Amino acid sequence: MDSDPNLLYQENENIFRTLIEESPTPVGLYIGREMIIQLANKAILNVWGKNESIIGKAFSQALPELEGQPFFQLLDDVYTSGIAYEATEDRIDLLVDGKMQIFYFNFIYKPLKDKKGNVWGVLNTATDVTELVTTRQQLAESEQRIQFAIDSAEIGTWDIDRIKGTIVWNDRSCELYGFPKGTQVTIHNVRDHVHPDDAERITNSVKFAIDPKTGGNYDDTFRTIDAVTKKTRWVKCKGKAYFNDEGICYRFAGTTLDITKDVQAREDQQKLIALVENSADVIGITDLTSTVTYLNKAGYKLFGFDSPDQAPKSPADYYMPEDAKKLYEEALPEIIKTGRWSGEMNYRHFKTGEPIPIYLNVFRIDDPETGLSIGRASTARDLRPEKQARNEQSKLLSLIDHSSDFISLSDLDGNVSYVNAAGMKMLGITSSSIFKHNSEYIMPGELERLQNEVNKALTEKGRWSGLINYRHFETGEPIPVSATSMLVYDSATGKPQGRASIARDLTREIADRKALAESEHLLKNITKESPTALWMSDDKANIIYINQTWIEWTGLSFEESMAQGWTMAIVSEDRQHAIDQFIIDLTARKSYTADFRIKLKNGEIRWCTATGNPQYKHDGTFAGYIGACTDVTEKVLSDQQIKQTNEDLNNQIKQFEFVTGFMPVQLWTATTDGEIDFVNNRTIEYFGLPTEKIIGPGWQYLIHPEDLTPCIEAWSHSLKTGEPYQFEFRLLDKNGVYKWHLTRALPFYNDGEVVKWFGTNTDIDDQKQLQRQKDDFLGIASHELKTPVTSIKAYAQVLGAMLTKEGETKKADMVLRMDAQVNRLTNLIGDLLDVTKINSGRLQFNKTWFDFNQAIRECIQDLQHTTKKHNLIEDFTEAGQVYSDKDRIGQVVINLITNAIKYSPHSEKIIISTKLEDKEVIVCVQDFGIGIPHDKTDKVFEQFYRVSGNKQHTFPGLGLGLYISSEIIKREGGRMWVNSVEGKGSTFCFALPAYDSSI
Amino acid sequence: MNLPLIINFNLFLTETMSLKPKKIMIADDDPGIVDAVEMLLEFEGYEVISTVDGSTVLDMKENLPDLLLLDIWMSGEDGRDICKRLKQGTLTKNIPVIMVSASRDIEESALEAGADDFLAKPFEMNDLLKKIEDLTKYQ
Repeated sequence: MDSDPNLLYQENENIFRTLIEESPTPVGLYIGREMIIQLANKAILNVWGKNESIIGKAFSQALPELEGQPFFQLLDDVYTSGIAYEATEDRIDLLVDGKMQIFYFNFIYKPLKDKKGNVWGVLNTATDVTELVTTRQQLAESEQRIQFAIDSAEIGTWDIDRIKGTIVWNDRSCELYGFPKGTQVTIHNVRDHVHPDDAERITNSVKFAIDPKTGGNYDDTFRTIDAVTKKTRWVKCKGKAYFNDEGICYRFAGTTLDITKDVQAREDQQKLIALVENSADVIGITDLTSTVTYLNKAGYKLFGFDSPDQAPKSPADYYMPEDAKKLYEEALPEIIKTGRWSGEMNYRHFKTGEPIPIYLNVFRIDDPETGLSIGRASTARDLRPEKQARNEQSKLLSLIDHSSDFISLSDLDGNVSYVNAAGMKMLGITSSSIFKHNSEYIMPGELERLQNEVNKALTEKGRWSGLINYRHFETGEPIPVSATSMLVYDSATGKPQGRASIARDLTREIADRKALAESEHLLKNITKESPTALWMSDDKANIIYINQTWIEWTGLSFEESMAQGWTMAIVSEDRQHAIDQFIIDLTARKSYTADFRIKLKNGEIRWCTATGNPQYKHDGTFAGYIGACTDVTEKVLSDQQIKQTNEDLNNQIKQFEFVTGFMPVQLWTATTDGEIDFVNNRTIEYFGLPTEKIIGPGWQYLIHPEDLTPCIEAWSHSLKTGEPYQFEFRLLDKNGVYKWHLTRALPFYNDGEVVKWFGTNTDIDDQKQLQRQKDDFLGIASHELKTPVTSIKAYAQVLGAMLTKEGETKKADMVLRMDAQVNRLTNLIGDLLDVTKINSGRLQFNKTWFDFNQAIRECIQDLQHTTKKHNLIEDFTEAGQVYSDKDRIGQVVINLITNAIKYSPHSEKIIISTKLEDKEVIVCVQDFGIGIPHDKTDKVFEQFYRVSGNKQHTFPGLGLGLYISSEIIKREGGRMWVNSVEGKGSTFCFALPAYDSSI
Repeated sequence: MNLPLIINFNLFLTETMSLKPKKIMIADDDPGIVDAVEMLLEFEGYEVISTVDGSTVLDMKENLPDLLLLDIWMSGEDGRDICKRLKQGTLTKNIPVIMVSASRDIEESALEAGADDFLAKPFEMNDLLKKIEDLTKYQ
């Protein structure tokens, strides 16, 4: 080949061109800023999917699909910066075959510079590395996918080089074998965390696997214990052993899978099956043909099948006829539509045919993959216990809600969740305020008790009972209750799940009890004071109450007397009658009366009268008896006695009447009221009136009007005082004439009490007349006597004066003695007059103050003149003044001294003494004469009494002196007495009241 | 006036007045008593006039006595009534009256009737004389 170098060159240029044209490597040349494609070889055209028509076009024009991709910018950057752009495996999306495809190129945009260094074009070379990249990508993706799969599957991989003794494994394996992440292990410690129970087994199976005779397969399941979490894992190991020509295992690799969940799932499945099998609910499965394929144990039991063979195949057979209908008409369409149906149904017992109420859940079993139904399953809950329970529960709830007691439920911490209606009312709770803590339900003061007592008891014994004060929510006041709190246990687990409280409001009870106690106390107090025994019985004749009085009488205690116990106090002979009478009266609902004797505590027997009356409650039902028991012993005894006395009296009255019948004297008896109740025949004869007119008050009309008032006065006085009655009055006789009568009456006693007055009326009219006459006569006589006496005295005194004047002393003296006798005469007359006055009550006194001793002295002096023989001796002590009739007192003293002189003829002295003692002036006249016999000392003061005996006539005197003296002294408010010894002498004394002269 | 003077004056009066005898009148239905008392009084120097009829006392108009002894029971007449009337009469009311009676108990009623004094029968001569003297001192 001898060629011209230029030709050669030209040929070479073509070669170059051809080279570039034919180069498999895409080449492109772009000129100018617009990037006109000057050159584009076949390869690049191929790449772009373009033809030669693009030559001369701008890059961007030629490849408009690159819009949005960075190439235009890149080219422009290279052109402007003059820096080449190299890309490796740059992605480029090109429109090829009508669609966008992804290509990867290694390409260079090289800036072509002229000699000045200005860029005039860009050379683009590229290498299609699409396949390379995509393959690599695919490979990476594939690897990634594998890895992802492994990771997703959580598969651990391991690869043991047995020669080197190393293990290569992934993190998962590491984890599964129980090692912390990243631990490096060798074949020696790889099994460190295997579960001790499985360790030996694995060692054996590994050994088995690496034996070439077995084929090198390893498949084992075992547990590992994670070193960190201590979690136990079930792992499945699968591997293969690779053997060399010598049969030595040089490589042992495989995978590990955590099958814990599978194991668990299997266990769960076991459990589930067991659950299903042993469930209390009936569980059955039917397939698509509606054939029952499975029924659990509970099902067999419920239906009463002895063996599985007995279970019918058709579902309808399991139900009561109507319910079977319901199943097909209602349930099945629902299942088909929604996949499930639930409702109440009635199974039919296989043997008895009775309906069994159940709650049925039927649902479709779908194949999880296809979603198509593969059968039906049903669970049925035996509603009988539930129904019963619900019954019970509704009863219970009804009970709770209607209970009048407070009932509440709370959780274990005491937060109240339910309060029944009564409880809400009791504490004034509204439905919104229930949900408080139970400590807010009680009074603040009780909080400590709640914690210490209540909660403690609940914790220890599960219940607490006691008295506590709840708090009224509205008013805040305490409500005393008797409460019981208890723990409520979950019936399944037996653990406490809450608390329940029941409380009864004691306010009423307390108030009632208090009122009852007070009322009982009041009753007891009232009945205690009763002097009779009080009792109450129930409607069965059992005594239910007796008062303190009964207890004190009988000595029986309250308890002993209850029911029939009280009869023990009754004397045995009377007992039966008392009881019988009570029963009879009680049955007849009559007033009860019975007499019987009871034995007192001290043994005494007393008669009692028991009385009682039936009592009725508000509603009219018979309630029992209330009564009393009175001690009537006194009355009984006195009645008996009265009867006896009456008999005696009657006898006596008869005798009395007999006697009084023939008595010549008027006899009468009067009651203690003063009314005459009996007059004898003589009385009737006297008055000439029928008995009725005299008895009673009638007698008063028969008394002279002048005498009536003083008579009534005297009679009343006697009636009142019981003193003997005596009076003189004039009674009207049958002829209309008043006659003087002396009436006397004495009280008749019985048992210390006046029961009657017995009286007489004696006709003293004649005596009275005589007495009057006598008195009148005496009066007149003494008056008449005094007249001549006056004259005689006057004459005597004048004569005496004359004689004295004439000096005739002797004669004058005789006349004087005559005068003395006249005085004696005067005195005698005076006594007679005084006696009549005394007897007719006409004795008068002219009282004055006078010196007592002086008055006495005068008397003594006057009398001394009359006796020479006797010496009148004064023995005076200070007696002071007296207020009395001086003359009359003088009369008395003279009388005493005169008597003293008269009755002591053989002695010479008479002592007159005065003294003042205990507000009395006392005068004593002592003589030493004949004295007075002892039995006569009282008689001396009687009228007309004179010394008796054989000396009688020898002593002068009318016998009136002492009588008059004693009457005078008596009427002056004094007293008179005598002390005497016969033969020795007498001392006559009298005492007069001494008045304080200052009054 | 002082006391000694009065006494002296009384004595003077008595001396001067003692010359004329006093006239005493006695009224008593018993002649025996009248006679005895008359004698008694005359012995003592009195002039005495007497009557058994009490009513004549009331008829006196002149020659009035200086003192009257009046018996209470005088045959149907009560001396007390007479005394009362005397004490009312202008002429006679100043004449002192001594009532006389057998009964001592009448003294009070006698004095109530207006009597200036009282005397019980039988009386002591000296008592009578004393009373008369006392009552006629100032005439």
